[in-house]
Amino acid sequence: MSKGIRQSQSTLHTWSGLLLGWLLFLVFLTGTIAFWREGLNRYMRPELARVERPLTVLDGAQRFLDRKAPDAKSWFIALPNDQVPGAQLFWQPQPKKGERAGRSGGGRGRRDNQALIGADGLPATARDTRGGEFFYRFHFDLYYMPVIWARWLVGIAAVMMLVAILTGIVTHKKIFRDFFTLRRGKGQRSWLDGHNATAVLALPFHLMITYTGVVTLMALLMPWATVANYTDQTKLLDALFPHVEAAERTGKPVPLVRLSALVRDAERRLGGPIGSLEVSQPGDAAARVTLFRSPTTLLNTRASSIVYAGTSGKPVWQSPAPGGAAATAGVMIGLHAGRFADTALRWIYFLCGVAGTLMVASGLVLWTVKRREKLPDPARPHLGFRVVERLNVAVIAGFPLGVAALFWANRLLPATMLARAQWEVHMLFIVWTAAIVLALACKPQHAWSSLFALTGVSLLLLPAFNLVGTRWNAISSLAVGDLLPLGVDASMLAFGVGYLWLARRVAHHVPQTRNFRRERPLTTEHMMQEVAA
Amino acid sequence: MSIMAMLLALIAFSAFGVATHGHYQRLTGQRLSASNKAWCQSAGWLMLTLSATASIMAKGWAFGCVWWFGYMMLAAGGAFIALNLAPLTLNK
Repeated sequence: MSKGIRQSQSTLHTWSGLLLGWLLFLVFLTGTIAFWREGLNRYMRPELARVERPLTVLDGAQRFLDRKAPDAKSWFIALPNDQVPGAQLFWQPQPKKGERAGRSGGGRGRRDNQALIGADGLPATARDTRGGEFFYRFHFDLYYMPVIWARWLVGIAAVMMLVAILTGIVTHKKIFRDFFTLRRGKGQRSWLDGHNATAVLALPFHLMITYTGVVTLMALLMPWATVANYTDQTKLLDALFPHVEAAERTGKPVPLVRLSALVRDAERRLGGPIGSLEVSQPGDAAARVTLFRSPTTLLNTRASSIVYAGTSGKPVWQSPAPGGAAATAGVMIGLHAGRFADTALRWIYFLCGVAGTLMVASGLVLWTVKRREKLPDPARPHLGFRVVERLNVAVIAGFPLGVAALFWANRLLPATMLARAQWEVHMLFIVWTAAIVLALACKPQHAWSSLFALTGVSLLLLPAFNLVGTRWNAISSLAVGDLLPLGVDASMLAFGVGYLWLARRVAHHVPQTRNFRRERPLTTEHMMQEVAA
Repeated sequence: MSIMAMLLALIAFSAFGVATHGHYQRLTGQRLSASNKAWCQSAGWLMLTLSATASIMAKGWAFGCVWWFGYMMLAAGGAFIALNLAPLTLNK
């Protein structure tokens, strides 16, 4: 009986892991990088100075918007801190007659409606890049495909992941007893130990991140609860995001109060730093300013807000305490995204994410390692085996090379290039495609080692390029006490060394015996020992 | 207090690691007796409880719990690396 259950769980674990494993690898890898979303936003715009005095930047933003869009329908300003490159702002023009009002009407995404205010309070001109936002969006929206399909795919993959984790706990029954065991140089055994170690050591993280990941997509995956309780979409939005409706424009011009003064007052009233603010009908008698508390000091991402009259600076409304369900969802999303985490905790998140990525990768490789020994003729494996083996190379070794290419494109593409930000991303996929071709064309052992070596070299050279080709690099960062560029460069070096080590290990791997029947997996078994550690 | 929580978690997981037959044998050259195993493990649990207390005292309930899990995972990873990759033996 017990064996029957374990067997069925094992089958479920194998196939739920394999079928969406490649997608999960991409999701885990980009999600892990996205923990440094704000940091990368800055790293990928090395022209910009660090923001020292956020309120000066806010004053600059207000002056800029006063000139640029005095009669807009609304302004939106994300307040800067020392992690972000500056104050990002959007404005929404008054809807023209006949144009649909609301978010879709004004075109928040339109490029001519946004600007970045730098540390000196003046509009900054930086290279056109999506920065860390790309990793964040790709993590659940993927790329080159309609967002809704991508979210369904990622949602299904996340549910599969949850299945794989839970069945994995049953399948690898000894993981808790063998918690500290790593048998080195023992082929399949070592792979299994490594897979288990990356899984168990960060198990609380894996369970949390997968479960809360499903929660972020819950309205898409299981819409019935909301459909049953809310017939009206606006009522649902009101319940989730309580807010005050924007007033109509009166046409009576009254200057707006100083926003930085409101920020100070709101921080006192809400009991924490302000993250962003929205001004509706600026410069009018009906102006309203909504300030949102920053999610950096709260577990709940759905932060509280306060509304002021824009002309007098008097508070007129404060968001009610969230309901139980909304607070639960908000806290879960908060845990998932780690927006509250300071640098130290973010490192823990990042390391756990790396462990998760390795867990998925080692699980995928384990599928081939396990089956290779049972092949009737290891020299000529069947089609299914070859497909999995090569897809593993294409994704596990190929995609990181694409990511390295994106970082290089960010440094090398000319600043004046048209659609530059898009081309940075295209470069990732062009290089990845080339890597896939290589993976399909070459013997797996060669493809693994050459792709790992290329990734390693690209990552190692990037900090070196920053020293000569970028105004703002590891040395200048030490000089001004700004550790972010140094931290990113050091991480690039560490990962570069890691990839080179892997490449060497795979390239030098010789099967232990010439005896055909006992030949061990040719490709990557040894890599796991390092990886597990 | 945060550093204390991290150190306690590290001691706890090292104790759990030492309390496994393979590592005990390698480290001390002797077989792990049932009483020593129980000793190490209860010490580990005690340290883990103290670590949780320290973490919650340092950061409050909500963040303290999140951090505590972070400390535990870091400590487990650190103990794992130390026990498996550091070539250290006592009494040999």
